[in-house]
Amino acid sequence: MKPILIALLAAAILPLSGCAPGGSGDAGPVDEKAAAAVKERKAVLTLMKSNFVPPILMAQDKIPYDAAQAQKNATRLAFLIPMLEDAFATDTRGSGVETEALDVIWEKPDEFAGKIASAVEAARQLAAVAGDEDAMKAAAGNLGKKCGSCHDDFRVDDD
Amino acid sequence: MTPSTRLVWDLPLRLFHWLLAVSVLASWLTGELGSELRPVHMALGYWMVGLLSFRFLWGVIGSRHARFASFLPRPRALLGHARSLLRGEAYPTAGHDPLGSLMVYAILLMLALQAGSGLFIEDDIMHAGPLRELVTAATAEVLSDVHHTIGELVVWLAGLHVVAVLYYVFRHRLPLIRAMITGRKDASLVTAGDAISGTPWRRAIVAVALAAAIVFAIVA
Repeated sequence: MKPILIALLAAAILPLSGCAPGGSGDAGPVDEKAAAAVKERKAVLTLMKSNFVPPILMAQDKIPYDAAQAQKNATRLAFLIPMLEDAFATDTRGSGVETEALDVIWEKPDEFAGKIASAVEAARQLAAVAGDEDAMKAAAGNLGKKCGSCHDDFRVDDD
Repeated sequence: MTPSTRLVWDLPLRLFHWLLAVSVLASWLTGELGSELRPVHMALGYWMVGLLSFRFLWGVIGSRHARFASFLPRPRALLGHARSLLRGEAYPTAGHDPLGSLMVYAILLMLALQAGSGLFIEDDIMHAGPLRELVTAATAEVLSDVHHTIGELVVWLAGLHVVAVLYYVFRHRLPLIRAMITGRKDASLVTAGDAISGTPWRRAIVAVALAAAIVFAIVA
């Protein structure tokens, strides 16, 4: 039975060593261009998040609908989300900079561009209907799904 | 006069076991299959909080072999069991066998951490756990990593558990799966003193009610 036991233990333990979360990185010399690109990405995504929070909370009935607030955030989102294209233009694979961006972004650029385009479309739709409560809620939910689908495929899976 | 089988697992414990197995599988799948299923994954998480709360209560007020005190992992018993395993021998017991009891503790503890950490994390988009506001963003990040890591660990624990059970079922003809369905083991393995008389229903109702109250307090 010994070999079987050892195989079992190995099967149980080995994959654990590979599942530590975090960036994609061997720590080489810091690539300044990559570091700046990652910083810009995080800035764009941070602003996207802060502007998405009010509309999505309204859509989930967690805060009351406020047309002016929804319109302001939606307009900003329609302005911010197209910046993703530029923010991910710099290929940071193997740069050693800590990032949750997966290599597949640059391996399947058309697919990634398609996800951004559909998010841009959803954000413009949100901005167009922000004044109508029901339509705004549906459009915010739709945009959230676009964000999620991109994270599913292109961001480190740690949530 | 000797019965052919004797009852060791009460009905709530068996129900818990199979509901937990299905829930772990469903949580794993909905967790892996993408953000569209996150609402389902979160609902399963609340359900899991209830299931686990019940089990922790049942480990104190349940019937004999459900009680944690009845299957504390003791080093000598664990060593004895490990040696018998290495010799390719069976290790029949009335309740949990020693290594099995270690697995029960490991799975329950990891699932408690898993369900617990899930309550505090968010996906940065549109889903946040009901207790997310109680911690800082940095803490939520750490708990998110914990949730992801334990999620993988639980899959391996569950797999190891299934392999171990199948080993004893097929190699040693110990009908462990049937016992977890009928609650009964062969009378040759269970002395009359080790058998339980049935389910303490009044305590079961209390445990279920308390578990439901815990879920309600967290989610509602």
